Amino acid sequence: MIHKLLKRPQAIIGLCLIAIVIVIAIAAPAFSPHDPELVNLSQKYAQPDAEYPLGTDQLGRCTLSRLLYGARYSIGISLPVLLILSVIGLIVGTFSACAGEKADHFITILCDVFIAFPSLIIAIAVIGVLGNGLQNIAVSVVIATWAWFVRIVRSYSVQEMGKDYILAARISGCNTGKLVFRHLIPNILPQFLVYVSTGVASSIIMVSSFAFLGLGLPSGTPEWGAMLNDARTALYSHPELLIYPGLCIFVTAAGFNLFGEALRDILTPEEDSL
Amino acid sequence: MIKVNNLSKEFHEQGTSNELLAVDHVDFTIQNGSFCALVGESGSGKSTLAQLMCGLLVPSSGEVLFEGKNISLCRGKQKQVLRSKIQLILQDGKGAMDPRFTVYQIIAEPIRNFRKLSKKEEEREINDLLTMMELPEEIKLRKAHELSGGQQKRVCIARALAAQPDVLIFDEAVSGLDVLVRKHILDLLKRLHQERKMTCFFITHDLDVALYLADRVMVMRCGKIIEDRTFHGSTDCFTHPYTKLLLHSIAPYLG
Repeated sequence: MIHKLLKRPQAIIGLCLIAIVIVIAIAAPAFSPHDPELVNLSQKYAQPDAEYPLGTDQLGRCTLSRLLYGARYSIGISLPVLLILSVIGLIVGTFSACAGEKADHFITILCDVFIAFPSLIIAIAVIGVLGNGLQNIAVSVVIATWAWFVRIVRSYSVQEMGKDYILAARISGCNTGKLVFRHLIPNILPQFLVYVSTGVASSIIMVSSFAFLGLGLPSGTPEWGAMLNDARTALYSHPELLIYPGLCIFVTAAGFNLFGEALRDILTPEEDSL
Repeated sequence: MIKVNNLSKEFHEQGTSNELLAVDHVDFTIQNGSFCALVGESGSGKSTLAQLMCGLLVPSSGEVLFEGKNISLCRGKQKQVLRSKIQLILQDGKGAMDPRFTVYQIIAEPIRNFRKLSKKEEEREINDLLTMMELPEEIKLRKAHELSGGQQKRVCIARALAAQPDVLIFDEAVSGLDVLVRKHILDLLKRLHQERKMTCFFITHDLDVALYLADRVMVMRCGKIIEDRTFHGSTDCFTHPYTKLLLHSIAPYLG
């Protein structure tokens, strides 16, 4: 599979982008020239120079350092969150599709309730109860979005369960467990991975929007979304402060999307023969 | 022996209160070792009947008895044994194979689920089945979409045989195949039936195929069995007007 992945330019570009972001996240202290939270009002809105390669923001903090540290927050929250969401989605979604009408009905209604709730309100409630902190942001993102993952897995599963090979597997003696783990999940995984990979972008943005509202992260935290929002006030005078974090979010999201699409192409068996 | 007693199956139409009676109070008995054919047009309830007969659907009323046991009441180990004894071969060969599985994995599945064989025995068994189905050995590593229509069908039959069934139910086993492949598979089935003394129940919409294979022909229409005759080479035994219409429709252009 790795061999096949490496043949696709999409996958290579995607992997490179993801790898760059992960390396930056890990090695941020080594690369960044300054402390990202060090305020220096005398250097407010400084132009790029040798000391501040990308200039400074409205509080004189080094933009480059803040961007590098920002990768930690974005990757560090969204990857674990998506892993948890995928597991919840796959287990509850396939259960809903296989467990009979009553359970299915119950889960569907529960999902509808959670989807109808604005994620922001859930986040305010969760952080209000649990307090600030990275973990609590992760928990509120999971609570706000799990229903989408369950619903998408359920709809893939229902579609797949109607197919003949599932019937044939039952005839061949598979019980529900084998049916789900040997046939159902491997066959819905390609589509699901694409959904998950696009979910990275939206979870980064969700974390950022929480940060802007002061939910979860203390103000001044070098987080891309929070930086975007800080820079809004200087839209006309210093548009580059908006562009940098925007570009970071774009590159990270593009990396995951490209990789996800390449994965889907490889995991879809019909295209093996092409 | 399979005994079908007053069997009915109703489906609810989604979003409405309409009920669709797919199988309508059907009665018949299939003796061990016989080759029965069930003929009917699309939508006559044939496939539903097939799924009822191997316990994949629960009847709305009536029962299916296999060796005296009610199929839909079996649970656990008994159900598993029953599953292996009555094997259904589905209409769409390609669709009935997991697109991610190789031919080897497909045929190995019932062996692993129903029988405890060592890796070596399993491999020998699969090779034997492939030979019996006249499939080349190199096919083992291919997947469903890399096989021709005839090969897909034969892999499905091999998979059913791997469960060591007493009864084989074919649901439209040869539709959608070209004439030569079709003839080949029909002869294969005939030989299989004679060699293994297996009970075969062959569902088709082609009366000529039914007449070619079976010693007993049942005709189904709108969920009911309208004619049930033992067939000895002459079509004179059929009396129902619908069956006569079907008989007249067999290649009328041959004169």
